Parts: sequence; structure tokens; C-alpha cells
Amino acid sequence: MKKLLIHSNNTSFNNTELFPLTEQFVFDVDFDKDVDFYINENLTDGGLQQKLEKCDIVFIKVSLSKNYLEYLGLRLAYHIRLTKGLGNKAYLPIVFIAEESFQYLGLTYSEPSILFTKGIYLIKESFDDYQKTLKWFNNGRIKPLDDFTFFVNSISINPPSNYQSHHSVANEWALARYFSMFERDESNEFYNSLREKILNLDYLKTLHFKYTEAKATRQKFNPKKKHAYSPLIGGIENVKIGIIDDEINKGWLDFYEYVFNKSKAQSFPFEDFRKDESRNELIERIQNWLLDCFKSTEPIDVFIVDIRLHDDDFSEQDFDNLSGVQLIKFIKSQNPGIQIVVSTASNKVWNFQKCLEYGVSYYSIKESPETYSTREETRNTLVHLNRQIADAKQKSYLADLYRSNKYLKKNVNENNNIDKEFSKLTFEKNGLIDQIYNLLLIDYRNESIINQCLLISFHILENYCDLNSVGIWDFKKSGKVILKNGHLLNVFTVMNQNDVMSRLHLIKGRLFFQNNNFETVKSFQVYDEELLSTIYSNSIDSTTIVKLISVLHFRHNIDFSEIERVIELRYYRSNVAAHLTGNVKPDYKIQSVDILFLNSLFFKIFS
Amino acid sequence: MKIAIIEDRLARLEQFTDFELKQCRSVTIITGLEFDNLIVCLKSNKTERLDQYECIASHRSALSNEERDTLKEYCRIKRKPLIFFSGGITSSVLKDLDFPFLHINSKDFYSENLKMFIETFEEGNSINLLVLQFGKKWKLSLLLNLRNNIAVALNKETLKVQFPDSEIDDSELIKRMRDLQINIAIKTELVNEKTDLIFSGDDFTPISFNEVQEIKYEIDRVINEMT
Repeated sequence: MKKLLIHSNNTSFNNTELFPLTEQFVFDVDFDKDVDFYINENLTDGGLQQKLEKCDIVFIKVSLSKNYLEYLGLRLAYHIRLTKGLGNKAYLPIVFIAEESFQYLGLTYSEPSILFTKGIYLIKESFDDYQKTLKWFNNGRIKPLDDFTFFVNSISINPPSNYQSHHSVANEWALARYFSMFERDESNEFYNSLREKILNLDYLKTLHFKYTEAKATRQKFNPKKKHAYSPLIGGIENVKIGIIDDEINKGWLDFYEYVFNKSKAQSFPFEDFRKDESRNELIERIQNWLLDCFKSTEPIDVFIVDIRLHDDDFSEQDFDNLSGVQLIKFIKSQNPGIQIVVSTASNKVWNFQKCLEYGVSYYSIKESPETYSTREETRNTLVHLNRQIADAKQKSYLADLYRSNKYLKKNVNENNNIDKEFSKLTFEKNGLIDQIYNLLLIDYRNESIINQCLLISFHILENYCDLNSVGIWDFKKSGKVILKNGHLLNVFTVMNQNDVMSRLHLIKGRLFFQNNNFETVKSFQVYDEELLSTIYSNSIDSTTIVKLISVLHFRHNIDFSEIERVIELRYYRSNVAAHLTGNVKPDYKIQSVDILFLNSLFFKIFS
Repeated sequence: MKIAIIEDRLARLEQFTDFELKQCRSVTIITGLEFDNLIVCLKSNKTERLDQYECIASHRSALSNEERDTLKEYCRIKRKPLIFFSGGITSSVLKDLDFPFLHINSKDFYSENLKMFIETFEEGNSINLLVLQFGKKWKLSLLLNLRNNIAVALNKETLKVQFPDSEIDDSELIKRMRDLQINIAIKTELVNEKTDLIFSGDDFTPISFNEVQEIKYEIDRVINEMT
């Protein structure tokens, strides 16, 4: 029988007649290290691991320090049971040496459950007990732990106090877990830096981590090849993404830098979290940092935000007071189009709902041990987070739109030449421009919403063209477009006496209709010289088109390709958005880019 | 003399303590500008400003490795009690080799035990880190230790008989009262009608096996009463 005694020179069993020096390990915590780190080091790479590998039974003095109640021997025993690298040696019979009974130790130690599991024995500091133990071992009465799962479910380990919030554990757990899903990528410096950071995470060396990892039997840390994940986010090339997370310096920055590097994007973190600072001071400094981000020539339109950024947040009862929530509200008050991905350890549904209320569209919960995720579920969480970032980037055009609308409104307000009533209806608060914007904010992918936006956009354009200050329209005689230089351009219509068709004359251009369908203009051409041409149309619709084209091109110099797109959208406006005429191929859907295009026309016209 | 608490995160101090630590007359909280000045001093190895304190407690992560080393060296030379507290410390450990040195978790540091530790200091003007570590159970730790030491010594007697050739020194055995190394604070708990005579001698009074057993029974009794 090979045995091992672990003590701190506080036992009579260290007599070499009982345990030769090769069968002894002196436990002596280096004071620059935490106890868990000291034990972990010795069990993973140190002398204790080597000695355990050679033995069949281990004797541990319950007290391994000068202060008995520290009971470091019990903590060491937990580590032996839960250190994966020890393999079967983790299940060795453990014989505690103490003058106390099981019951007494149970009463006086905060985490006594290991005492009441299989493979644990207790003897007194007595030669008789020592001899009996050896005899019982040789007789097979002393046995190793036989059911690890049952053991793990029988014990309980508390996290250290700075990990006592769910938040802190999840932050380091998720980081380690996500990293474990990544395909090996040693040629990438960001990958190596992230790996280095994770290897040095304090939490991963604690007994609590070993416990949670063992408890989550479905959550193996070495993924199968099929679950390996290469973190590539499409569509965020050259994009700068802001990060506000108090765990940024504990590995999350390295995580995002690696993911963004793979995706050719760039992280832009707020890193200056100071220890001795009130929550209000922290919020104020981040707000100033945000204002700089917004004013930049390359403003940041996507942010990843954690909702708890300050110690006070962990005892905060009012969700609205959480520092991250206050910053979300601040960002949205500055520009509601800026997209926020809330990345948090909070799994409370009411937090998610509140975030939605404040305009957050994307929410990702950091995985925690309690979620008991399988490898596949972890992979899905990671994919979900990355998809959220990609979607946020896609939707971030709304931030740009908000800025251009703001500029437009200011410009219109200062421009006395635009009709007041039209200006009020279109540009004032909750006017037509705002209506389009707010609809897009709700859902920029919803077909009905986009149709509604298209209708409102054409409503603006048509109203504008009808303004007397823009054109005077009487197609029975002639129409006039008032050019910017004040000159007039004549537009004629001629009625056909046999039917309801009208002839439209553009002095310097010509409209082409779709084949045998005079309702819909197909394209438009302008000539250098005046040329009278005749075009037939059978409805007022074509008259509207003529107005639009006349004003856009001759008054505002909108180029041909854009006018052709207006013509096309006008067709969809009438045949899809306003009336489902059935004339349009069923697979065509108006998209937000179409609305953006019309918005860009507004910018050209009104700015 | 006062106790110095070096803390760069005042918010946490307020978060963990249920009592008005700032109002304690025997405590100086070194934070803000004072903290910055102290760091400057520690960087240049100047520790005179710490002489006014009886005991120093510091947030471990507030100091760099070099600053921690300076502080430890200062406490070693002055034999001054030192406490490092941090949220990341998983188990509190007290060492008392060159000087009393306690590592303790922040939450355990900022607790009722701290209040009791300060009160004890204010009453008796002595620093007792066991009070900070174990609170009301601080004597229990000493008693358990004493009981263990007695058990170890008694078993060494057995081993000496069992293995006459083994090198067990008499200094490892309990021959005189001083060999018990009984802390004065728990000695008073152990003295009663039965043990009065045993404890009445001085440190060099010889003590028999039966008397040691008698003390051990008394320790058992007090431990049971305390638990």
C-alpha cells in the first residue's frame, strides 16, 4: 500500500516510522497567493500532484495552519476530489486526522458536506487509529469514492465574496466557456492574447469554479470538433463598435478584439473604470466619452453595453438606476437610431422587457453555470451574440438617418422659402419625416411597415410637387415647373378627343411607358435641345409622375438613375403599397433601403 | 495609536459595513488624496507616516507588488500586525511567524467581526487578529489548536515507546507547564476547582501525563460549551 500524509508540521504522524519523507507533503501557503491558487498550483503542476499519483490512500490533517478553525485540510480535500487533472486519483480514500468528530466539524465549518460523502474517513491523532486504518484498508474496508456524480450533487461550495453576485461568476464562466468553443487559432495574435488572459482568470483557479464545472456534467469544456466555432461576423467590416463593460479588462476586451479582428471590425471600448468613484461620477464620465463618440467624424453607431457597471448596481433595487440602464437611456436620447446590444449576466425576463421599452433591440445573456448548457447550446449562445451584433450593425443605418433628419429639420427651419404649412406637416415633431423614422425604428424588416413608409414618402414628394412655390399645374393647358433660378419650365398635356388619354409634352425630355401600358412610366430622357414630343397616358397617375420627374430633374437636378428608381418605386407604391393590383411579381418586396433612398432625395431637395 | 485602513474603493466599504466605520475614533481610513500620497511614499520606500498606526489593514489590490512588499517589510521590521483584504481571497489565513499577517476576504473583513475587532482594540488597546478572523469564535480556534497540540504530544509519547530508535526530541513532548503554550486568554477559561492546582505553578513546573489529560478534558468541556 502506498500512502501519503499531508500536514503542516502539526501532527505526530510525520514520524518517518509511519510515513517516510517521500510519503509526506508539507502544506505551507505562500502568503503572496490565495489558498485556492496555492492548492491549485500544487495539484496541477506541483509536487502534491506527483505524490498523489503514486499513492493509494491519503491522510490529511484537518488543520493545515496555525489557526485550527481555518480547516484548510477540508478545503484541500475538496480540491483533490474536484481537480480533473488528477484522473482516478481524485477518488482516493481520504482519511482526515482530527480530534473532532464528524458532527463537530460539521457544526463548525461553513462547507462541511464533503465530510458526509463516500471515501471519507476520520481518525484521531493516535497510533492505534493509524494502525487500524492501515488494517482496514488492506482488508478492503476503506474504499475510494465510487460515484462522482452522486458526490458532486451531495456537496455545496460557496463562491468567494466578490463572485457572490451571479453577474461576476457568469462573466468569467462565460468567457472561459466561449473561448473553449473557438477553433484553435494560434496564428492569430488576438487569439493568443485571449487565451493568455483566460488562463490567468482568478475565478478559474477557485474551488467554486471546479465545483460548478463538475456539477454541470453536461457542460464539458473540451468541445467536440462539430461544435468548434470560428467567430466570424458578416457585414461588420471596417465598423467601429463601442463597448461599455466593467469586465472589459478582465478578458472581455480580448474576447471582442479577437472576434472583431476575425470579422475585420474594430472595438472601441470605454476602459477607464476607476475603483474609488461614485456611480454618478462614473456615469458622467461615460456620458462625456459617449458624446465624443457621437461627435466624431466617424461616429460609433453600435454599442455593446452591460447593465451593471458599478458596485452599487449589485445592491440596486430600482432597475432604472442601474448605471448601464441610465447610459442606454442617455444614448437613445442623443440618437434613437444608435443600436445597443445588451450583453449581461442578468437572465431576468423583466430586465429584458425594460430594455426593450428603452429602445434596445438586441439582448444577449452571458452563459452562467446555472444554465447547464450543453456544448451545442453554448455554441448557439455564441452564434446568437454574434448575430445580434451583425443585426445591430445592419440596423445602425437608423443612426445615420437620425443625424440627416436632424440636419434637414434644422435647415428647413432656417429656410423661409419652403411653404410653412408643408414644412410643419413634414418636418415638425411627429411630422411625416418623424413618422417614417419611428416606423423604421419599430421594425425595419416588416413588410407592412415598409409599405407604410413608402406611402408616406410619396405623400411628402407629391405634396411638395403640388406646392405653388414649386410648380403650377394645369395640364389641360400647360404645367409650369419653377426652377431654382426662378425661370419657368413649361410642361404641356394634350387631351385626346377620342378617349381619356392625355398627351404630355416635356419641352426638353420624353417619358417612356411600359409596353402597351400607359399607366406606368418606364424611363425618362432629357435632350440638350428643346424637342416637342407627345406621350400618351390614360390616367391622372401619369400626371403625378410627370410632376415628380419635372420637379426632381429640372428643379433639383436629380440624376437619371435616381429618377428611374423614383419611377420604379412610384409603381410599387401604387401597385403594392397602396393597392395590391397583382401586376407585380409576388417575390418583390419593398425594403428599408428603398425608404432610405427616398430619404436621401429629401436631403437633396430640402437641405 | 490607531488602526489604519487603506482602501481605494470607499463605495465597497459602505456597501459591506452596517456600522459607521468612519465614526470609529480608533480607525483612520486612508483613501483619496491621502491614499495617493501614501502610494508615493511607499514607492520611494518611505514608511514613517505609518509609524502612528498600531495595525495596518490594506485592500490588497490597491497596491502593486512592490508597494505590498514595502509594506510587508515595514511590518516585519516593526512586528506590526498587517491585514490584506480582497474580494478574491477564498479563505482567510493568519500567519504569525515574523509578524501577525492576515489574509482575509473583503466581505469577511467588512463585517461584524471588524466592529468587534475595533471594540476589542479600543477596550484593551491590543490587536487581536483572531477576533477579526473568527469573531466570537476566536477563543475556540485557540482551544482547538491547544487540544490538537496536546494530542500530538501525547501520541509522540506513544510513538517514542513504539519506536525507541525514532528521533523524538523531549522538546516535542509536554514535560512542563510552558510546553503547553497556553494563550493567557484561554487559560482563564480553563481554570476551575479541578484544574486550579495544575495551573497554580509557574511555567517551569513539571506536569504529569494525568494532569495533561485533566487539562485536555477541561478543554473538551469548554469547547463543547462554546459550540
